[in-house]
Amino acid sequence: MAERVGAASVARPLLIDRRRVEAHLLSLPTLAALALALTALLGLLYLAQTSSLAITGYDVQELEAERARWQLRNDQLRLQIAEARSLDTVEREARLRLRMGPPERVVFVQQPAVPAAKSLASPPSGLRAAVETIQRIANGVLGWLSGEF
Amino acid sequence: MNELDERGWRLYVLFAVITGCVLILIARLVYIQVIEHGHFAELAAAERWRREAVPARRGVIRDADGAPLATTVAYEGLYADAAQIEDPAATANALSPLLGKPASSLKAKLAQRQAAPVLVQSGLSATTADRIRELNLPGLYFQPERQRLHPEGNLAAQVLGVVGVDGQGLSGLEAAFDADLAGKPGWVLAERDTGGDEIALGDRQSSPPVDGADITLTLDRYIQRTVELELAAAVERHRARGATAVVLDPRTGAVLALASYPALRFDDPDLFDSSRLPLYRIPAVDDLYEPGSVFKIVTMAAALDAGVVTPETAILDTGSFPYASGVVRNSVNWPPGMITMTLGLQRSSNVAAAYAGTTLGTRRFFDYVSAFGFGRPTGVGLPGEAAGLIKRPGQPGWDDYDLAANSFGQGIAVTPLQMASAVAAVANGGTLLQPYVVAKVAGPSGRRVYHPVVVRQVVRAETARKLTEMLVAVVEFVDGGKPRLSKVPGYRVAGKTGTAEVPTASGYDPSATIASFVGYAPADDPRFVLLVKIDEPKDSPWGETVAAPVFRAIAQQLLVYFRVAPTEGPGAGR
Repeated sequence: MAERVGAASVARPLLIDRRRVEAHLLSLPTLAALALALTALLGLLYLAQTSSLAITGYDVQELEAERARWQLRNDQLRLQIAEARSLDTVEREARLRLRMGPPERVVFVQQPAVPAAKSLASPPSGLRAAVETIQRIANGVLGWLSGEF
Repeated sequence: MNELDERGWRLYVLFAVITGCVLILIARLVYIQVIEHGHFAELAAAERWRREAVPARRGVIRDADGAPLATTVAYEGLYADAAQIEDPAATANALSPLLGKPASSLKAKLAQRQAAPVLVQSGLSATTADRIRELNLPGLYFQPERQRLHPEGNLAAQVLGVVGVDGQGLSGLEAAFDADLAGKPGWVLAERDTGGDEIALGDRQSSPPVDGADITLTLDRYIQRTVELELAAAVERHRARGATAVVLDPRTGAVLALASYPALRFDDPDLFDSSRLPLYRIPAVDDLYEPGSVFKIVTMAAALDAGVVTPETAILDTGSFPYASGVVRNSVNWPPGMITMTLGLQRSSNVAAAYAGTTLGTRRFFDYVSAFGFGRPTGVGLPGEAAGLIKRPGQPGWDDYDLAANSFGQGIAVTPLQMASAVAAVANGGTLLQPYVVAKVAGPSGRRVYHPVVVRQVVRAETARKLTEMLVAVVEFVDGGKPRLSKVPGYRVAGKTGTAEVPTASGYDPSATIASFVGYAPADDPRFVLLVKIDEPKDSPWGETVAAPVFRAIAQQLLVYFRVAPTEGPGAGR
């Protein structure tokens, strides 16, 4: 008897749970619809991501092409600068626009030596030697780094 | 046979036919899918995959101050695919103002039905190309195209050289340093869509291009231009066949200018025509000539250094000097009398030079000639450099008289650069330096810096000093009250004229000479050595009247350019 009572007391909560579960369980068609929707959603996400990547890829290509066009424009401007600085252009500008001509006479003016100012400007001999040593070391290191041979 | 049997027979036939067809199809499929799989897979890949070369940027050639002399710039070429252009007339009208071409000629191009796109216009600037892009006209495409351009125009064209349409150097430095300048092209292997554009998410492999190295020359564009302009004017003035000039820094051997006239022109529409091939050469290093009296500098240097003569050594100059099988004669008939070696140089006496050379002796003379660098290329680094022609004792055609003839620059062939380099050795205290035209090559893989190279001490410093004084005396020489045309007022200049005959297959051409002058200034601390050579002037045969004024005109400008103050006369010491 005690066993039957015990069995009943155990079986009751199980029956209650099943009902509750069944009440909350979705039907198979609903599950299928949900799975389908989820799959569609994932597909959409994948498509969105893929198309977004493709668009980004084409944007990158377009930007690369634009960079190349700017590089090209830059090269052309460099050429224009070089042409503007060419001796022919400088002479043409000097002759035609500034109305300059070849000098009839060249005068050389010798600058007088200024030993006093030089001695004031130059650092003490010990410091100068140290600066020169540091410069030599720095030049050596820079030469080594730049691979000059 | 009943009706059923007859139908069965037909069914068998039909079955056999169908089975046969299926077997044929299967066989064909096996052939395509299995046996020829590789071939068709390749075709499919070729349809989808395309490998494109990515050109490397060709290096820039700069002058000593870094000014670009040759550079590569990309422009855009406009192409049209007629099949995609619905209204050629409207497209032509839209393009006409941007391209500056009449619409009718553009329409004719746009209407051409060809398999490949038609080139409408090449060399479009980025601005013009962008304006055309904004029009969104169908059937138009742009293709970048690289051009080798020269911001300084035709300056030093022969030295720089020509680049072919394939981007390969054909002459000059462009050819000699092509491996450095060209760089290494890259490539892109990518999946393409039907339009030929790269698929953004497709597979892609690539190798980036390695740009070419930039080259810095020792040439100075100002000096080069000055020399070129003066040479062109001299050729015009004397109706000469051509002219060549070399400017060297005697302290380093650096070539400051190397010019010729007539010269290659980059703007020549027939630049790649075979008739222009002779202009691809660099006469200063490729062409040989008999130096004539300027070679007396070498003879005198050797004789002084060996101690067989001094500047004061006196001989009797009767106008002729019999030696071996021949007789040396002076070009100018001076009154017979005693002359020193210095006066011999001043008068350009062949007799004095022959005396010095023959007194020195054959072996020592040719030892000095070789020591000065004649008979072998200088190694300046330019293509096609000639070694020169020196006939030595024992060689076919040698005659003992050749020693006397060689002493005054006859019967020997040198390049202008060799001659200038030998005189530079005298200007440099007797030390011969190797001339060089490239100072630095700098690229992605490192850089090479070219430093002056001492070849040898040819003559003692004391000999060089004595000879310099003799050459100053040559320029200072007053002939009949008239100063020499090479004299640069205010400066001590050392130099020597040359008037050489032009050898032909049947002897010397009596109607043609090569007038030349080589000198350096200031004589006491030379900043440059300048050789001027005018080929076959028509109005005067003499180096003194044809080449010396050109030397003076260039030297005057160079001394101002180098900011060398005059040491004599009214401008000195201010």
